[in-house]
Amino acid sequence: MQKKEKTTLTNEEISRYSRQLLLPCIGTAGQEKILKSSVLVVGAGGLGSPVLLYLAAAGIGKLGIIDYDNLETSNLQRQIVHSEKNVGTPKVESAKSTIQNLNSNTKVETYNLLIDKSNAMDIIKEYDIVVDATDNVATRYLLNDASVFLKKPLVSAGALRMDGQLTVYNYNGGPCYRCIFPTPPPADTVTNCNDGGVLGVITGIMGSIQALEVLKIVTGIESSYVQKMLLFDGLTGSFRQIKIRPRNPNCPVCGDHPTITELIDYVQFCGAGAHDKTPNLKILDDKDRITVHDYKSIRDTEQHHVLLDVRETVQFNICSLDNSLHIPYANLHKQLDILKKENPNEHPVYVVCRRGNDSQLAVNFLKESGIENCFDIVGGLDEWAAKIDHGFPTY
Amino acid sequence: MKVLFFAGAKDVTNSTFAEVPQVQSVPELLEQLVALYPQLSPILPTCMLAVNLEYVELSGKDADGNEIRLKETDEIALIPPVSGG
Repeated sequence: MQKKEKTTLTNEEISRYSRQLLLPCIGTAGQEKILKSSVLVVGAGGLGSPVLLYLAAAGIGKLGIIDYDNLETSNLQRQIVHSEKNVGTPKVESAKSTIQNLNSNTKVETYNLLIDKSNAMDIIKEYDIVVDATDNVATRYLLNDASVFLKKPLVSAGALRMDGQLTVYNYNGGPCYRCIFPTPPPADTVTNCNDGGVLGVITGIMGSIQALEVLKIVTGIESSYVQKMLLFDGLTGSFRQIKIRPRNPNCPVCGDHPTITELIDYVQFCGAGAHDKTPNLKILDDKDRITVHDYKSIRDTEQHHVLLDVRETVQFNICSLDNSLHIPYANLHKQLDILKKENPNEHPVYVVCRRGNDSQLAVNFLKESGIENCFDIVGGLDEWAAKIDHGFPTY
Repeated sequence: MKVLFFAGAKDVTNSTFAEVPQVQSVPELLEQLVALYPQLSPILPTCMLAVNLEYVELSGKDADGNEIRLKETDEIALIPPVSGG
């Protein structure tokens, strides 16, 4: 008869984790590995929330959480590791308190900071696995390169609107993120959850699968997404698996002759900040713009004008100023006749959007189309809500 | 032939797929796509392409470096990275 080593699990651990101990693919040996493992979760948001909850529940020994944001009310719709009472406090602390209520045996290390080239290597080297649950392109390339240099598997997912993507990079001969996406997208083509929206269940599904893959890697079960990308379409309910390439021998980071051998400036590389905030553009001269205060007095003194709101219809339906003429920026070229009916050359047109970026592009377009007397309202409706009408909704 | 759009490609085209005239190579296919949807051109170089659920380089080579030839029945997918979370 074969003599088996006795498990090191305590009675408390045996009863706590019994449902997964009963799985032949995990068992006592798998649980012992889970308890000894350490996982770094970068981003305590929509993806990071289910990752943290399920990994803590499963008994991961040490969880690192990196996030530099404070919790906002608009996070709660999807970031289920947080709760209302913590709004305004650092997300890492909020997540830590939830995790410790769930499983006090899990050691939690918090990093209330922006991960960048100066600190990434020191933090990541302390962990077995890295989970990319970030919300921006620059941090995705940073985590990829650091994981390659430190030989850590990178369990990566992204979610936006009703779509999700997931791959395990840099593991078992599979590619790194750069092998698949060598070129970062132009900054002005990247839609973030802040602008594009996302349903909480979508990040929940993708984050849950990330947690599953982490547990498989930790316990030695073969990961299902090495050299495979999962595409989830929440609208049609379809899960597609794309067979992706193995490691690219010509990859600048993980290839046979790498040209990038230390962390670089990722904000410069991507042309976009390491966050999901929309930058405020300044496209127009000051003479083509007015402040919300000036616009307020135009309204108060009932000066004849057209207020053109160029936001998408879903945003316009949330809230708008009275007497707005609504033409989404994307449709402006097709629907210019609607504006022309308002005799725009006889009185000024003031263009507004959510934050004052599209409205500037719209003013440029109108001027090119022969409508000269038009102005952008600086900062858009967000600024209106902040400076003029505190009762105006923000989203 | 049918090209499926994912994530950002779906958003900029406002469409889940495109029907493009039959072509034989990936570069020809990409030309057809940009002709149909000029708004794809800034994101195209950053996308991943898959033919019948398998990765293909934008140059038209598969992971082994072989030039692939497209068939009418192929399912082609245009997949930009999703970076939100």
